[in-house]
Amino acid sequence: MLEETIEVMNEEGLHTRPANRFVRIAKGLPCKIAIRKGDREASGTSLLKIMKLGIVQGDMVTVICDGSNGADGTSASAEEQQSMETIRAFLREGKEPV
Amino acid sequence: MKKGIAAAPGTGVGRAAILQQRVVPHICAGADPVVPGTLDNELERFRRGRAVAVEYYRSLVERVRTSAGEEEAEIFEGHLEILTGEDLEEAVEEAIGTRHVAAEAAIRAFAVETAREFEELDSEYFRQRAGDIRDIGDRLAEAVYFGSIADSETLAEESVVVAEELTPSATARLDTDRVVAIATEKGGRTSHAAILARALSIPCVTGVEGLVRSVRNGQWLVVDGDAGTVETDVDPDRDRELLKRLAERRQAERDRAEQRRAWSREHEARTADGTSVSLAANVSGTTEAALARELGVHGSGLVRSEFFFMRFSDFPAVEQQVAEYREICRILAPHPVVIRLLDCGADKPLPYARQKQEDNPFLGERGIRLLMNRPEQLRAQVEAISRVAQEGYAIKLMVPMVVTPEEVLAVRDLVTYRDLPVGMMVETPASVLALDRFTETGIVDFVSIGSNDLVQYVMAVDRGNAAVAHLSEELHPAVLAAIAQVVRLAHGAGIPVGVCGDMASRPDTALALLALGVDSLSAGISAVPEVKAAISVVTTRELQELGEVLRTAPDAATARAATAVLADKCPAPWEQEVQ
Repeated sequence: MLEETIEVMNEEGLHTRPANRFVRIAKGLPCKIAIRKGDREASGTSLLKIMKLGIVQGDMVTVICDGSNGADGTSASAEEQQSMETIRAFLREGKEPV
Repeated sequence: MKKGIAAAPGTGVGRAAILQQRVVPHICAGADPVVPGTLDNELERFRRGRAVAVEYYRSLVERVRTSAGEEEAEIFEGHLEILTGEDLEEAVEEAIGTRHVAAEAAIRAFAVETAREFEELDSEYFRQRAGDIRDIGDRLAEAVYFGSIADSETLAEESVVVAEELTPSATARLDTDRVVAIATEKGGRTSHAAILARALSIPCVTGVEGLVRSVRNGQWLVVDGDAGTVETDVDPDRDRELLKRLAERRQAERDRAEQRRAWSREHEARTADGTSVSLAANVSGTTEAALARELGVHGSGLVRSEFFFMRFSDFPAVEQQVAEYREICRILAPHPVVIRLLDCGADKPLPYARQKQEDNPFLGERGIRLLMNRPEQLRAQVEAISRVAQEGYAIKLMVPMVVTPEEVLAVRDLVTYRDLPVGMMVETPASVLALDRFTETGIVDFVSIGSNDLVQYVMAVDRGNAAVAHLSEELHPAVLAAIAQVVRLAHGAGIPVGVCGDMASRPDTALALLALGVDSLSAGISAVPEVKAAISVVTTRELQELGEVLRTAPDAATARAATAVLADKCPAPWEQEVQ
C-alpha cells in the first residue's frame, strides 16, 4: 500500500467534470484507489463520494494506492508506484493518461 | 415587484412559461411499505427505470455537446456516472431490502440525503450541486414510475421561463432561442441555470421567493437581470405602452448592435482626409477571429496563443497548434495574423507549466522567460508557426516580455521557414531604453507596444490595486516619452511600430498613439467600431498637431485635454446614418 499527500492544483479542484475524469482514471488503474481529505475518505471509483469531499484548488489530499505488495511483502509494488504517478500527474497538472 | 439575485444581466420582457416537471405521486415518494414478496419486483422496476434514465442522459450529453459545447456535455457525463454508480445502486437496494419501500421512495430518500450532505459543504460550488443530485433523483423516479422521461414542452416565442429551480437537465432541454429571460425561486449566481444564462446572454434572476406560486402561465413579466428583480404586476392593457416601449428598446438595441457591426464592416479605417490606417483586432482563438472578420479589420495584431494552450491539460502538440493557427489565418485571410508566443505566468498561470511559487510574479517567469526555461515547448510553438508560414499564410511571430536581444535570437534560431517575420513586444523599460540594440542589428522585423504592461512597468504601478490605481496613467509624460522613443528608434531603422494593448482599444488613446507616429493598431474586438469611427473624423494635420502637444505636454492632464478635443469630435456614425 502506498500513501502520498498531494496538493490539488487544478483550478476547479474536483468539481463535477474533473472529478468524473478522476474516476475514469482510477477505474483504469491496476490498484484500488482511495482519496482522503481531512478525516473523510472516498473510494476513487465513486464520483459521488469524491464530490462529497468538496475538494477545491489548493486542498491537500492523501491518495492511497492499494495493489499487490512488492517482492519483500511490505514495500510498494511497481504498479502502486505507477498508479500513484498517474494520480499525481492528474491532480497536480491535470494530465491524463493516454 | 419581487426581489431576487441578479444572476445574468439584461432586461427581458415576455410571457411566463412555468416549467413543470412531472410529479411522481406521493404514495411512491413516501415511506409506504411495499407488500412483502414484491421486493424483487421493486428492484426490477428500479433497474428498468434506470436503463430508461441512462438512455435519456446519453441523449442529453449528445444534445448538449452540439448546443452548448464539450464542457457542458462533460457535466452530464458526470451525472450519467452518478446514475450508474455503485452508491446509488447500493443505497436503493438497501432501502428496498430492509425498509420495504417502493423503488421511487428509495431513490428519493437517497437523493434527499445526498443533497443534504452537499448543502453542508464549505464551497459554494459544491453546495449548489445539491440541486443536481435532486434533479438526477427526480428524473430517475420519473423514469421508474412513468417508464419514460418527459421532454420539455414546446415554448412559445419570447417566453420568460419560470421555475422553482431550473435543474441542469431541464436547462439542457430548453429551446433557448425562445427564452427571453429566466426567473427561479432557488439557486444563486453559481447555479447551473445562472452559468448557462450568462453564457447565452439571457437575463436571469434567481432566488425569488414565492415566485412560482404568484405567477400564472402566460402572464406578462419583466425580468431585470441587473437589478435582480421580477415585475409581476404587469397588465398588458394598462401597461401596453410600457411593454411596447421595452420591446421596442430591446429590438432597438439589437438593431443598433447590427448597425454598428455593419458600419464597421463597410468602412475602412481612414482619416477624414483619406489616409488609410492599419486597424487590426486582438483575438484569442477562431471564434473571435470570425467575429473580428465581421467588423472589417486588417487581420490580427495579437493572437493570444495562451488561450489555446489553456484548453489543454498538457502542452499541445505541434500538429494541434498548426491546425489552430492555420484556421485563424484562413478566417482572416488575406490580412496578416500576428501570433504571440505563449504569454503565461503571473496573472495568467498555466497549470501544467508547473511554475514554482514566486514572491514577485510580475517580475518573474512570464512571457518568453517561461518558454526559454522549457526549450522543447518553445521549439514546438516556433515550428508550428513556421509551418503555417511555409504553407503560404500571412502569419507573423511575436515574442512577449523581451528584455535582451538573446531572447529574440533564441527564437530566431528555431524558425524553420526563412521568410517568417519575427517581431517583439515592447513592454519592458529595458526594451524601450535599449531598443536600438534590437532594431539596428536586424533581429526584429516589427515591434508592437504592449501598452498595459508598459504602463505598469514604467509607472511601477498595479492598476488592479485601488490604493495606487490613480497612478496608472497612459498619457503620463513618461509613458508618452517611451512610446515616442520607440517610434523614433524603430522608424530610424525602417521598422514599423504597432500597439496591441488597451491604449489601442479606446478612441482617445488610439488617436494619441497615431499622433505619436504609431503605424498600426490592434484593438479589442468590442472596441473596433468606436476606434474606427474616431479615426474617420480626424485629419492627418490634426493628428500631427496633437503629436506636438503630447511630446511636450507638462503633465497627463494637458495630454488628456488635447486628446479629448479630437476624440470628442466623434459621435457614433452608425446612428446618424440611420436617421
